[in-house]
Amino acid sequence: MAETSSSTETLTLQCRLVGELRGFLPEGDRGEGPVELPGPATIDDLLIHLAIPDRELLVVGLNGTKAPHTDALSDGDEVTIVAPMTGGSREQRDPEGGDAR
Amino acid sequence: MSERYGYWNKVLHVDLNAATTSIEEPGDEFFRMYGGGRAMSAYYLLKHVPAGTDAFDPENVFVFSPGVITGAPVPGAGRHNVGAVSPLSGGIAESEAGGFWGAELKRAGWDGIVVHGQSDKPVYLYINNDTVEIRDASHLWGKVTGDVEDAIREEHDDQFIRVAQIGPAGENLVRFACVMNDGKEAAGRGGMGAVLGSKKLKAVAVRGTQPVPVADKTILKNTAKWVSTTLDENHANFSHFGTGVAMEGKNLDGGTPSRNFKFGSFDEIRKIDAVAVGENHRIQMDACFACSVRCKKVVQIEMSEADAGVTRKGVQISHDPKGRYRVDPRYGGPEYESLASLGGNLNVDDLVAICKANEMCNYLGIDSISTGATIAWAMEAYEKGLITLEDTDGEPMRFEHGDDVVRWIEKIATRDGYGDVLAEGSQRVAEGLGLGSEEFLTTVKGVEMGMHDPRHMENMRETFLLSPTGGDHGSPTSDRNGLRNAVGICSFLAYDDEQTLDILRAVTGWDIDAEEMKTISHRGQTLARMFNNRLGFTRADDVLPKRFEEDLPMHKGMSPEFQDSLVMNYYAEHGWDEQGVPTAEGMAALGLSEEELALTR
Repeated sequence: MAETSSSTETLTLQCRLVGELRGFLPEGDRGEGPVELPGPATIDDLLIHLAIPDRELLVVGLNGTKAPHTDALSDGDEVTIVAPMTGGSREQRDPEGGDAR
Repeated sequence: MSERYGYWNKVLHVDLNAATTSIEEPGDEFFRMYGGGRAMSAYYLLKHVPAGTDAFDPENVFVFSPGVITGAPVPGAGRHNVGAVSPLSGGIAESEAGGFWGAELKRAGWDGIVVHGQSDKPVYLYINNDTVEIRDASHLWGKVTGDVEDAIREEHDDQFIRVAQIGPAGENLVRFACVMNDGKEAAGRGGMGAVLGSKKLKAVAVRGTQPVPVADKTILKNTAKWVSTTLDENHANFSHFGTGVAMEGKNLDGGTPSRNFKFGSFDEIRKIDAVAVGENHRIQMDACFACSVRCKKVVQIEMSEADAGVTRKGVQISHDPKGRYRVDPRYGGPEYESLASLGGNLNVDDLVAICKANEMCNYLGIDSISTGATIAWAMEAYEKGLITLEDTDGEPMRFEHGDDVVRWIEKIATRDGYGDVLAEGSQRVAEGLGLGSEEFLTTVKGVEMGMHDPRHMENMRETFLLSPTGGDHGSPTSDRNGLRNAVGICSFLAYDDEQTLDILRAVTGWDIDAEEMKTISHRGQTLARMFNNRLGFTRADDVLPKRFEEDLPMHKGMSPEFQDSLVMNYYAEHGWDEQGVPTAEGMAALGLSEEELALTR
């Protein structure tokens, strides 16, 4: 990683948004592409930047490992974002993203 | 009688011993008490099935039970339930399916069917509104599900007939055979197809032309409009991809069933999820009755590129690059459970083989979950050298090999060679084999667990521990799912509890509140428990298999003490005593009468 989260420079993240989330990616027609974000930034900052609703329910992989939304991002990080999939109301969805049918 | 909405007050009883039918009018109070679904099937099982009844005895009854909402014009109202004594667990089984068959039965003017006895020759039931006939099915016996549907429609010169049926696996009494309807929908769990096989009832063909009467069409119309105009907000994943789109999230979370639930992740998950199905093999999405969500994948794969071409809508049809398999779109496509049980849990990343395996389960009439889980158990036994090529007819059973899975499905459904052994279900095979093979079973009450690891998923812990139907992930142990099962609403619809209540009121005209709705759910759960207790189940059966005491890399194992604490809390919440027996007070609170339920049997 070239930069750390303390940098105020722009971070370029390699993002992959799975399933219904594809439409939130500003670039890339198949849910994959780079996203630029002012640093320092956390995963939650990225989710706000992408304007995905119900972001607390999303499962995020940082460089292949599940990460809490408070984790800091570094330039060049690979971020995978998956929405949980459940029936029933939004309030009843599993915040752990576990009910992945 | 006041106006009646949502149901007809007509239950069909079929006596296969005498080849006669009769009509029961259970009364308005019955429908308000039980709603349909599990509660209704458990009611009839308590009423008619004595202690000591084996699944294949003529005394076992088989109940088809839609709910009071099934067939109403609102999304999610395409559900029906089947129930009987399970050939896998020896206790109650109930399994739910979508599609059109349940709604068609309601539209034919029937609220349920209770099948008694056994026929001495293959028969099928033909229902055309009020007309009911028990017809010869000798010419259908041995046929796969698609051919049976075609033959019945041709026989009656009616392409709109809906068929629920068993495949060859049910005829062969494979203990995890299922009941298929509409070609691609499965009431999969608990071996209900084998029970119909024992009764020699090949199919129930239904044609109905009477709209189900509803109390308030406007509310239902507005609900339907809300679903169809907010698909991207509320059902985007279901609508665009279907189940299995979030498998990568489960994998990141360390909860993917892998190598017979030994590990919590599978590196190749992206090759076999619903996104991969959509990008590589899906030709369209399909719907159930009255539903605009359209969450059902339809897959088509041809043997070669030359055969592939495009669909009528111009969609490119895929082909198997290895030239092995054709997958017929009439059998739909793999849901999450099949992608996981026939793929991830076997460490198979061969999506063409998984789609083929799923198609075979549907045309042979065999539960994809129990099939995959039984094969997973056998693959671990094979890997450990507890069974060898000498046992398995010289055919290997290897993790990571999709072709092995396809071969073994055929052998199990036709009871060929060692497939005849595996057709008994993994628990019976392990108990026969010994050698420590019981340690890696993934069964509860003899039924293979659905593809949701309770070490990872908190909301599956009570479900697997306490479901009266055993390892059944869809079992309505929660208030929400219990209610939906009883009244006949799909659990995938994003209705909140208030919307569900509004729909229930709009269909039935009942002045029902949230508390009564919860009571319907508890009643179903308690009736099922009472029936299992009659058949000899005890608290000792409410336990997970040893494998789930082991830790996963990211999740702790569930100790016996922890499991027991969950069980005791659930008993207390449902008004059951410390042995899981419903108390007199608990039953009274649910309005259940010992006398009516023939509890002295």
